[in-house]
Amino acid sequence: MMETLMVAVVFMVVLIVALAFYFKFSLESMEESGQEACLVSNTVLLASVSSMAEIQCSIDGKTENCIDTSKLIVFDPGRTYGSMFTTNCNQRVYFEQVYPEPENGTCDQNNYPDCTQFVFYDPDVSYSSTIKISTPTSLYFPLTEEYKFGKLVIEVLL
Amino acid sequence: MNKKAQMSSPFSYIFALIIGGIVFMFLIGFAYKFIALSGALGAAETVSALNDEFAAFSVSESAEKVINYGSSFDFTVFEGELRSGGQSKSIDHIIFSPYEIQGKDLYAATRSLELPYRVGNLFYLSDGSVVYILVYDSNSEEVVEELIDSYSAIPSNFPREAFSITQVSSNIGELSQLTASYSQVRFVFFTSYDNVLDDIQSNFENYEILKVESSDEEYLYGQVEYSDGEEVVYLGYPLLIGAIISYGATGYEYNFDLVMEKLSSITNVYYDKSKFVSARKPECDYNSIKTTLNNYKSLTNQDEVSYSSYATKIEQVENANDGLGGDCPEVF
Repeated sequence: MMETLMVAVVFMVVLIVALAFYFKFSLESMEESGQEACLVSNTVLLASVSSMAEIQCSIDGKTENCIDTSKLIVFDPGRTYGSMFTTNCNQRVYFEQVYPEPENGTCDQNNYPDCTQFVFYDPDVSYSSTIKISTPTSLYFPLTEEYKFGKLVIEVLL
Repeated sequence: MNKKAQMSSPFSYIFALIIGGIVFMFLIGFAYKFIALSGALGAAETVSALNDEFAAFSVSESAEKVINYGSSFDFTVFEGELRSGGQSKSIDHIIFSPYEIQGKDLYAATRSLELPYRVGNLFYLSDGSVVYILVYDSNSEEVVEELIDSYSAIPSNFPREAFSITQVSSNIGELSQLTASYSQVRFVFFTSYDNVLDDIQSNFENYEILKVESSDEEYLYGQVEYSDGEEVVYLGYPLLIGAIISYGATGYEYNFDLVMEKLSSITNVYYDKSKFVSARKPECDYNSIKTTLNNYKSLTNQDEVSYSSYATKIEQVENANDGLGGDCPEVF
């Protein structure tokens, strides 16, 4: 009876160790797939954010391919929608004026339009590293009816 | 000693049987959990891929696409959830589709919705098994033409045809043969169908009848009545197409509520923008646009509003915006 018990115990130990290794590698593989899917989703997001009706230009009743900075100032996606993007990872999204380069930092209602960075979405989460992807974009300032050169930046938070 | 050994042998077998049983149950349980996990991952991958397709699609104001999965698929779309193989995953786009979609090719399309400013993109899915027959009279001919062959038409990769009520009544047999390869024929009448109802009932096995009614000459706003008598309101051709493609009033109304939520958010953005611009341009009068936007926003949060009320508010918002210009920038 002792021998049977010993064989069973050894068998169980071997089985559990094997399963632990299997799960570890499966988990790593899943995490890698998740990260790949996350990067793909954010690259797609980079192309689609500029066409969001909440921030896209609408001038004289017509939609245009630019970002209305006055909408960026008044719209808070975190407050309106809670979780903004349903990609399987978090990201910080902002627009930066590249040229002409203003002096002030983050834009708000007080320093607009003399500011550099329009934060669009910034989730309150902790992260260990980031991957930054960006694309050029046209920033429209309706008060002066000017277009300025900018870029859309997505920081993927890992 | 021998007697003792003989006594322990059956216990050893029973013991081994119990241990073996436990190990066997453990492995079976593990296998089932693994199958469930694989299913969940598969559903998540499908939804993630579809989400990406739609996100990339939403850049365009009007686009159509055939997605070939390489193998057969079978899933249901119900209230923002895509269900496949016992697994479900929420999808974050406004999608109008039949209840069940199966086949090898997935027909997808998108149209931008403007009320009067852009609200966002609506998406449509089909597996090509339902054919939509639009029936018109002399009053609705131009509208149906617009819905068949224009920028805002029913997606061209979805099976659809247009016939006059006279053509339907005189060629019902031919129409039945023409649509025989589809699993369902969905008639969309822009005119009265009393005279052809009996012919349809006797010539078609699986059919549905939808009736579109509007007091607007261009049918931009109106209501759609489904076969079961339920009526829904539509605002603009993209929502009318959504009502035609949806499997019923329930499926359409879920998406209509999403559209209203989005419209409310976008209207709020324009309302806040009008306040912001107004503060920076005190010499300009933004009171009219602020009031109309605020009223419009309130309307989008109400239940069971008639299409004429929406039409009136949309017109008021448009007029207020048109009143701006020059040194006082328009809000949209």
